[in-house]
Amino acid sequence: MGQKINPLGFRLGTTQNHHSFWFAQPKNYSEGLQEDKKIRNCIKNYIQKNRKKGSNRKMESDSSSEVITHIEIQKEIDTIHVIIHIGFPNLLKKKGAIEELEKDLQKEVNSVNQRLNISIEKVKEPYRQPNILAEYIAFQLKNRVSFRKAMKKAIELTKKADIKGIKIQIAGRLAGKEIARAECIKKGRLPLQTIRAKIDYCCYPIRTIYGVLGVKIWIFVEEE
Amino acid sequence: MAAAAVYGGFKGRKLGVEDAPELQLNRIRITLSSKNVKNLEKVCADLVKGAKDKQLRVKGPVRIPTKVLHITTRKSPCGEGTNTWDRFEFRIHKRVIDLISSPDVVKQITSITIEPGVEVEVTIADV
Repeated sequence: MGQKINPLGFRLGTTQNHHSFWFAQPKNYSEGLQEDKKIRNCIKNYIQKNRKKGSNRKMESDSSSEVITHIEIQKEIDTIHVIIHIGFPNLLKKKGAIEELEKDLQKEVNSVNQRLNISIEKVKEPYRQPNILAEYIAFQLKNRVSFRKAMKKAIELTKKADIKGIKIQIAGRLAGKEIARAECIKKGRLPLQTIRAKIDYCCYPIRTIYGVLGVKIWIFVEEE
Repeated sequence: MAAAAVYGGFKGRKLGVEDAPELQLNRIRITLSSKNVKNLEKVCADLVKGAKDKQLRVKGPVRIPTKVLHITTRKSPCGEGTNTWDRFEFRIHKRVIDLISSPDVVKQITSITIEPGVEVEVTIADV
């Protein structure tokens, strides 16, 4: 709906941190931004490529596949630190993977003066991150599971993680019907107007043969 | 080092003597800019402390007024609807620290304290 502000943007000063943490004078700011965008796209493409390669050999149960929660970029004078937060870092723990990533990234970013420093952090509780839940739901929906079941399964996954409230909204041609609608399931509390409440949000598009379904997940983690 | 020897002009001295009194003293201006104040103040404090430890003359962090850039963008991805605008701010905080010392010492100091998100500019002028 049009009236709700993105809870991540709303809390940027207080409970939410920026993912790109660097400074540039306004003259050079746009170049820095474009670099950031290229880095993020490159990393996502790399992981998608390798996921396709992996799934050609065996059918992975997708709960063990990589999902990037977020990519932090910090730029100093001579280095760019890229910290990738991943839910289940299987692929990237293989030996050559990080070096390949570095090479790819260096091609994209014409880093003349700057060294790239990539590090990977495993997310502590993966089922608290809305990105990982969204991927899980996407996988279920691609396998033609009924969407309400998919949402309920996702909520069950979060029961083990300590969560005080969750809301999952799926919008679009649900079950391939011609008339699109939005369905949502809520559990617990979700104080969107409270700025000191730590709320994680993610908006994830899923492509089906009928069109695009938008999945939005709000997770109320804790109150400050 | 060659410059020091020429500048000093003493013929008996070896090149590369560190504690020669003939070392060039330059007025070095370090300008720190950043978007957020905490990191900036931390880097300032570290620099001033580092300089005082080496007994240099420091002109303390001068706080230049914050520049607030207003960035106004349309909220809508298309042109339809009431014309609502987002008003973002980009706050640039700037601090200036003056040191009087030789350039090598300054390179030591600035290489120690590097925080993300703070831009450091060093200009050297002869005393």
